[in-house]
Amino acid sequence: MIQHLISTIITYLLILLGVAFFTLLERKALGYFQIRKGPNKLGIMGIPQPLADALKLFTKEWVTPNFSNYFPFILTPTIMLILALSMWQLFPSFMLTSQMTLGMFLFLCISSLTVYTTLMAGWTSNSKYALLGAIRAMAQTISYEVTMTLIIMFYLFLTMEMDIVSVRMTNSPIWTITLFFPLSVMWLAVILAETNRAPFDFAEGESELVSGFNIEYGGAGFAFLFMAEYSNILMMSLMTSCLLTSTLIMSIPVAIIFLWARGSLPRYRYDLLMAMAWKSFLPFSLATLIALTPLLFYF
Amino acid sequence: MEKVMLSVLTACLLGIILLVVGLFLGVSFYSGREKPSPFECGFDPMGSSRVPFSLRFFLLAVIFVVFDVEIVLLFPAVMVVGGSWMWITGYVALLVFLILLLGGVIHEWREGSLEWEV
Repeated sequence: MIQHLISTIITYLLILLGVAFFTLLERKALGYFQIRKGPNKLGIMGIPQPLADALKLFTKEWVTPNFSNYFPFILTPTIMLILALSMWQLFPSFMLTSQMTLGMFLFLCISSLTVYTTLMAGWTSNSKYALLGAIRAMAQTISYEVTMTLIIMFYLFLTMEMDIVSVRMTNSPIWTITLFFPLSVMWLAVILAETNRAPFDFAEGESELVSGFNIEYGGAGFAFLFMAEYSNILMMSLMTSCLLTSTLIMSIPVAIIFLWARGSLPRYRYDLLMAMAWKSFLPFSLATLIALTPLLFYF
Repeated sequence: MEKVMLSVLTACLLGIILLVVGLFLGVSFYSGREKPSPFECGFDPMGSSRVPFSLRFFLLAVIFVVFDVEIVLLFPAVMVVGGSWMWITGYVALLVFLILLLGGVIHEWREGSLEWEV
């Protein structure tokens, strides 16, 4: 038990550090996408930049807007961070302190709880922009959650396991990305929409909602929301590398695809996004499952 | 199970420590009339912020609930499908269930619940 505690704490701390440097990577990558340099002054080549950002955000004062619900407003970013961190206990390393037979189930449960925190952040901050952004984010996330679960189920049908480490080991002889490539591309679009990232970032459409659901948050609260978002991105990349390939190192290209999509794709349209989720992704993923079931009977 | 709880509790502890640090460092000293007012592009906020929203979102949430429940019902199949103890009746049942789900999507589509026009 004490081993598990130590390994959990080390995982969480390293994830927070990884999130910090992932934001640096994003700023650098976006800089070079736009033919500028990005952060390069602080310390050696701008490497300690995320630590300075964190320090700045934590020392900013935390203003709560008038008539906002104070305790939910304060607690929501923390809950978001707690959910994002507690997902990382599933980290599928081979040096385990605990094996979870239903690990994928835990992943689905926690990632679906994230919707509540987005909605709470928008609703409690007593701002119209925040509320609109939160409602949009909620509708988008729950729409894509159905498809995400169905795609995960497709790969789980192949491995007959729900434990993520077992999924990895079953995938290791042949990568499942080669099995049905269109589904993998669809999975990529789904995880972009699920984490509210560009080109599907309607939760914070800058052109119409200024900053979306997190508009009233400044200082440490904003830092928590930011850390939770990037931690979710890294978790989704990790899930991709476990489900589609078997090596954890493949999560790095997926995380870079997130940045690449942000750097190169324009924002989608909201009604088209919803139509894509319900009219093309959902029937398609159901049809693949229907096609798979007789095959599973034969083999 | 205890290990899951332990991990979640550790996350809670870390989150609460960070929250306390953030609240202590970010304590607000001066607060005027304008500073805590909700952001509305420099104007005074007009009316209540809890504005009514489009019924589309509500309808979508209802459809989502239906599909999510059906997916939960589908999940036990993951552990048994492909095993030698699952007979053809199991596969037929699974297939019928999935086809019913697809039929549900097509029915919603035909009924116009998935349209986004105002």
